Amino acid sequence: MDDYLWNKTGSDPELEQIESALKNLAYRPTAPPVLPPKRSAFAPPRGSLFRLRLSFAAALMAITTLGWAWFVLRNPQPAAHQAAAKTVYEIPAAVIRAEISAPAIAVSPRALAPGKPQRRTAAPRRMPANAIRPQTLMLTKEEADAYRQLITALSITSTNLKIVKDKLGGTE
Amino acid sequence: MRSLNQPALKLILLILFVLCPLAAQAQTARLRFENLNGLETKARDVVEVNVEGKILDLAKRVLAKTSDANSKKVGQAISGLEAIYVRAYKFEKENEYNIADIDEIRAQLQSPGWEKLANVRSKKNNQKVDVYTMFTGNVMSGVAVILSEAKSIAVINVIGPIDIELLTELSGKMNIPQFEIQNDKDKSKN
Repeated sequence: MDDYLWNKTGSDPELEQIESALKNLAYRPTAPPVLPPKRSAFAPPRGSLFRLRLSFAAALMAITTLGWAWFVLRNPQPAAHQAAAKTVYEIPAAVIRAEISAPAIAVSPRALAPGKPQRRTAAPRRMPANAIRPQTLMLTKEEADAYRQLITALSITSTNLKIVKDKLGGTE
Repeated sequence: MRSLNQPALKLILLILFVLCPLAAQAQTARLRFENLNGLETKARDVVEVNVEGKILDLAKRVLAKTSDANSKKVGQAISGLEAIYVRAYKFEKENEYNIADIDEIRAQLQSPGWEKLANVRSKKNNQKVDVYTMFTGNVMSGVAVILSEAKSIAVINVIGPIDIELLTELSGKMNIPQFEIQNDKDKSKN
């Protein structure tokens, strides 16, 4: 009996009877069981109120998006970053003209306002023989305007500072 | 006692709340030019330039793009510049502007913080030029240049540090494309 129980040698009718009775319950390798479909933790409630709220939120989002798009299109950003809108402005490299430093106010007034007509047209300038060849830069209109304004302001500033320096130094 | 102190404390806080921004403004290098607005119609030539914020950034970007030596010096001189405001008026005849208007701006420079760097008084054309600077600690926070002559006035207000020496050296070396540049010598020849 003992041998049959531990290493299945010999014969033990009682055990064999039990084995036979439990045979149907023995392990048989089969395919894994099919799991039920995965369900989300959030199950939208089915109701007309929820659908109404969802529709309202969607409409609100659409209105906000359209409003933002309308605002952006109506107030476009300066074209500084838009390569397509770039214009060629020729900025001559520094050509030293000593006579520019003489007047205290040396810049034509209306030239700063692009929309306003100038009272006097700019006279064509002759480039000195030793002038440096103009450097061409690709600039946007905003960049060119900003540069002109800054150089105008700095030119007037440096001219006035030079007047003071010359007076104090006894040059004039 | 406590009931008396509470309204007084509120009053002190209110006064501080009102005065603090005024005190802060008093220390800024920004000048007020409002009284010059009326000169635009009287003057023959008017230059009004406000370069700050994004415009200044754009201009600095252009300066960085240019390759000539003077532009690089300009960029170096204004690397810390925060804003620059210029008002310049040139008149056909003498005494077309009220000297009180320009003196009002000179008076602003008497407020604490401003220090006179130089001034020029010349009988020729009744020329007066004043240069003031403002420092916050050891850092320059502003420059003001005021010029008045018989037929012209100019007010320059710089916010932030600039290299005055370098900028003076660059006088006449900054090319302004597409702008008419009037010259007193040419004028006298004509």
